[in-house]
Amino acid sequence: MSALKDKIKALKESALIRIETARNSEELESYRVKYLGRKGQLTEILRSLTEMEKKERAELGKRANELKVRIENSLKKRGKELAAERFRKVELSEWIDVTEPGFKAGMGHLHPISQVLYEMIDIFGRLGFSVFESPEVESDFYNFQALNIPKGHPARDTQDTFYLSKDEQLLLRTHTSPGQIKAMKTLPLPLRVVLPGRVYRRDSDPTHSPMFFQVEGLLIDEQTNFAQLKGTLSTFAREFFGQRRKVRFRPHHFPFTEPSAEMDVSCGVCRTAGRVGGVPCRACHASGWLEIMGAGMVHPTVLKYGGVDPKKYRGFAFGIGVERATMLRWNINDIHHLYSNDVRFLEQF
Amino acid sequence: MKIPLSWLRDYVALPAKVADLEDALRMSGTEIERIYHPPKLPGVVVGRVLSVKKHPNADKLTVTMVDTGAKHGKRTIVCGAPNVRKGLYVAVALPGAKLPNGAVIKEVKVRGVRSEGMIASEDELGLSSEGQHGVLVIEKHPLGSPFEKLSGADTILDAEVTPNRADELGVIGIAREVAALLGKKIKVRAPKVKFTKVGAGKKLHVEVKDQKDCPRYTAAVLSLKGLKDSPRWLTDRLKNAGYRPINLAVDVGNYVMHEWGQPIHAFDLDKLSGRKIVVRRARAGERIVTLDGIERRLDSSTLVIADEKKPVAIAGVMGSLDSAVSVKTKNIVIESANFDPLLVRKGAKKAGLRTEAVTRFEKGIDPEMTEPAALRAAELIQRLSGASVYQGIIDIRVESKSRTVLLDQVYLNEMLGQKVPDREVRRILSALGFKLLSTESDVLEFEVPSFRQDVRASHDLVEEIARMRGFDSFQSLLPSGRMPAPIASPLFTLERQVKQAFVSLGFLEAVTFSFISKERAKRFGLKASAHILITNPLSAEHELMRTELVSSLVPLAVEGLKHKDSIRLFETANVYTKSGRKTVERRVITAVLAAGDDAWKTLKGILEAALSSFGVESVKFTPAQFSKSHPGRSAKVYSGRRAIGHLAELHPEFSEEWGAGRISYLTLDLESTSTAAKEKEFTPPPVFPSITYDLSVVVKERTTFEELLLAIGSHKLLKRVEFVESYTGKGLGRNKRSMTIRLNFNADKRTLEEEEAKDLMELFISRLKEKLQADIR
Repeated sequence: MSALKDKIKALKESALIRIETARNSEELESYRVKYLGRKGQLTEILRSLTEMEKKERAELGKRANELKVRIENSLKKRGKELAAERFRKVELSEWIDVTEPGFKAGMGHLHPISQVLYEMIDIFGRLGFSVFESPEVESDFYNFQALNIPKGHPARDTQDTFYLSKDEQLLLRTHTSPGQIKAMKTLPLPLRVVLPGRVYRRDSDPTHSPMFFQVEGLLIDEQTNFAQLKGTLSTFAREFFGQRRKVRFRPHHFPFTEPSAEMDVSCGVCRTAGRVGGVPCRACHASGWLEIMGAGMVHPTVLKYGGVDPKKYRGFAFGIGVERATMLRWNINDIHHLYSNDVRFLEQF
Repeated sequence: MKIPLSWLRDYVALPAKVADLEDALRMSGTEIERIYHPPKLPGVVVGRVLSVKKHPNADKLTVTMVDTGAKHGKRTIVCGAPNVRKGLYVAVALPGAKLPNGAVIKEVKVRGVRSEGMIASEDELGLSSEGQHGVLVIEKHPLGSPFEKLSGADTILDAEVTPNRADELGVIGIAREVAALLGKKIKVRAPKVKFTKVGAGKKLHVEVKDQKDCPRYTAAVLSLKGLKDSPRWLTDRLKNAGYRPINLAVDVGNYVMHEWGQPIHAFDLDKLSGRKIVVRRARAGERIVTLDGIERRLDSSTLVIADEKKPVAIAGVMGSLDSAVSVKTKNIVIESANFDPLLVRKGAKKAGLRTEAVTRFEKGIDPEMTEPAALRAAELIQRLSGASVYQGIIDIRVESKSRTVLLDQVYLNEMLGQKVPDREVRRILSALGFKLLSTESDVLEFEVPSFRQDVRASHDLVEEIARMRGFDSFQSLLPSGRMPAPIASPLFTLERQVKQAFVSLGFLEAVTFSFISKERAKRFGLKASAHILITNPLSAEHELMRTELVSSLVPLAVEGLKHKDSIRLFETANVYTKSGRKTVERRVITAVLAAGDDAWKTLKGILEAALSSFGVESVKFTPAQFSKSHPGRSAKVYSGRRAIGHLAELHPEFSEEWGAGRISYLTLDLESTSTAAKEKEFTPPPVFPSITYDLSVVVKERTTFEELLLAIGSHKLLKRVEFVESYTGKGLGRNKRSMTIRLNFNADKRTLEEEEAKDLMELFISRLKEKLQADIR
């Protein structure tokens, strides 16, 4: 019995010292296994107790269990100390140059035109306008005639057209407006739609591209009026360009609307002054304003072609050039950058 | 439309500040694109060339002596212009003068000769350079007097006149608009012409075949006393308005056209066979050599002015070379006519000519102005050259009819969203020349002035009232009324989702033109004849409507590889195909990946991930072959039985041609993908632990993963079979392939026993052995 007693005593002395002086967590773990593991020294002792008499078992058992608790506590304590010591060193051992770039994340980029187009669609979406798409290959009827641009109308010259047939009946749409007629013909009234997409004109210079994007809008209801056109488009302009921008409407002429208007927003650089630091403002060519879109009350002839009774319903329509808005947003000076598709351009957005 | 302000001021009083005029016009619908201010020319004085000598050291230069008056003296000036002559009066920029182009004149040595100033050209003086080349030759003026006041320059408004406002294509029309805007009176006086006793009808016979084609033909006949040069005031105004001075007859024609908006044409009367003018359709096969010297074939769709024998002008477009007025002309006919706008447009289109006259005629001009314009032209030629004008103006016309339009004020107010006072309505329309004929409760009847051919219906009057009040005067409201139900557009929605997916997978979005060249099509092995052709392309670059996007994106990827190691690029767009007589447009996405040897598998992984995110399931790949694609690495993509796209690598030979490494691409038809996409169904994650075994199987080399799956078959406890890796080569023996797969077992309602899974593995292994003669490693 006393042999076991001595064994416990000896174990106590050596174990606690070893644990308290363990140099790292691996060593500490080795002691845990050595003393408390399945075949550990103390575990063996505890196991051997079962063979003893009750009295002896009680006394030695008490001692052995006390030692177990001490060893456990000691392991825990030293474990904490070692951890604290290890974490104390991480500032040095795990130092990283925070100015060094991270691993390149594989994020792609939406084309700036798409970004602007979606933003426009979303703003009009919040105003209750749904997306409606129509084909790019169109007939003369939908692209011109139904929009109050009959054969021989001079307005056809301002929309130089790509034709797909010798008889000039099939063409690439010059605007998204043919979709207006199709929306009127197929959708129930009242109607609020935006018509986004590619359009084509036979034109190429620093501000024109043979293909470009438009977002067109159409609202038809019984009580629609010019004040609502102004309100809707002003709301759009402030959402898109910023709440502090001013908006103005100028009379214009489009065959498919009457009255027709062009909307300008105040120049973000000179704020309508036309000059910056005594020099003519370059952003707006010193005019103080930027032309953004065309709009107007839908012409009765167009309503009729859409199968809508102009005596009962009125509407307004508008068309925005997506490229121009894109160029304004990022100060892009030449429209052809947008179609260069140079990866070094695309990655910037 | 260029409007020199001195000219406009002849007809209406203008505000003191140009900006006020500009603003009033712009905010009522006449956009001012630009304002030209007369150049400031301090230090530029009148001089006279005393002598011209060759420069001793330069062939193309001369050394001149120029007298610039008592104050500035005689000075030596080196000059490079070929037109400098002794005796000419010129504009001399003295040393220190600052020119509009920013140049400051200094005394300098030019090839060893001191030059004390510069003889200026129109360009250098910032004057419209429609006229002379070389130095500007001016009239006689006191030597040394400042040139600025003599330059003839004017403040010029460049107005963008909308196509409906033909009336504004003349200074008088603009004056009317300005008068209405600013509450001023317009000052137009009747032209004063002294007629001879002989009647014009004795000199010329005019016949109009069809008055529908030519509602009015007005002509004056003049006998000239030689054709002098136009005076400086006239050429200055013409130049300021953008015309090149030619001779008095032509210049007066242009002047009157620019003033009245009525095109004028002058014929040499003695060149008109039979002294006759017939307005008729051209006969098939007739020809005319127009003023530009080009012979043109005519047909009956073209309206011509003819003499007894032949056409002498394409009506409203251009006259013939033979009948043109020259220095020898003795008698002229001044034509001031009104033609059918469509016919003029057709004639111009057919001849490929767009003249100032055409841009006016085609818009529909006031038939009432032919007569005052003819008289104005006669008056000017008479005054400037002493010509005699034969008594009476020849005038053949349809009866003039007044047009009326009704304005319902209820409609007006509803349209604009606020009430415009009745008083205002009357004031505005009256200022614009509309005459109130009658009133019946809210409906007003107006007579439309003849110069407003564009006003046809009540909505036109609504526009007139709105624009004259100014759009800013109307309130701004959000739409009231019922909110329509939202409309779904699945294709647009999917397209957006597809774009976001590829962007998040590291792709850049490209936007390329929808057309390609025949050469590009050919290079990609596509038949030009399978494409829809643009009949009037801008260039050979853009002749075919593309049927796919690969040929647009591959060259961009190749270009991109010059700047980056790997390229991920995509575009979504419509492609265009013919189906019998119909054209079909399909929206597709094509993505290209150039990223070394693993590009194909990487792209397949991307495609699978993307499709799964759209809710497209049961995706299958079957070997296929596309134009210029790799014969062993091309597949059609299906969802169930529906073909939705393809995935391929470019043929290595083709890649090499482009100087690029491996390039893979995928194309999805978005419409079919959208149809294949299903709403996702939720399945709860398994509650009970699952068991996973890896299995390596050696099979014949061309055995596919799909065949492997088929051989294993299905079991309700087998939840997934994943592909881990495949291997061919050493240690396998010839024509063998090893595939490692991972099988996942799970029971829905209990913990699966290891023994059950092991039994199933035995079953699957036996199937593999039986069906594929597989060895298990």
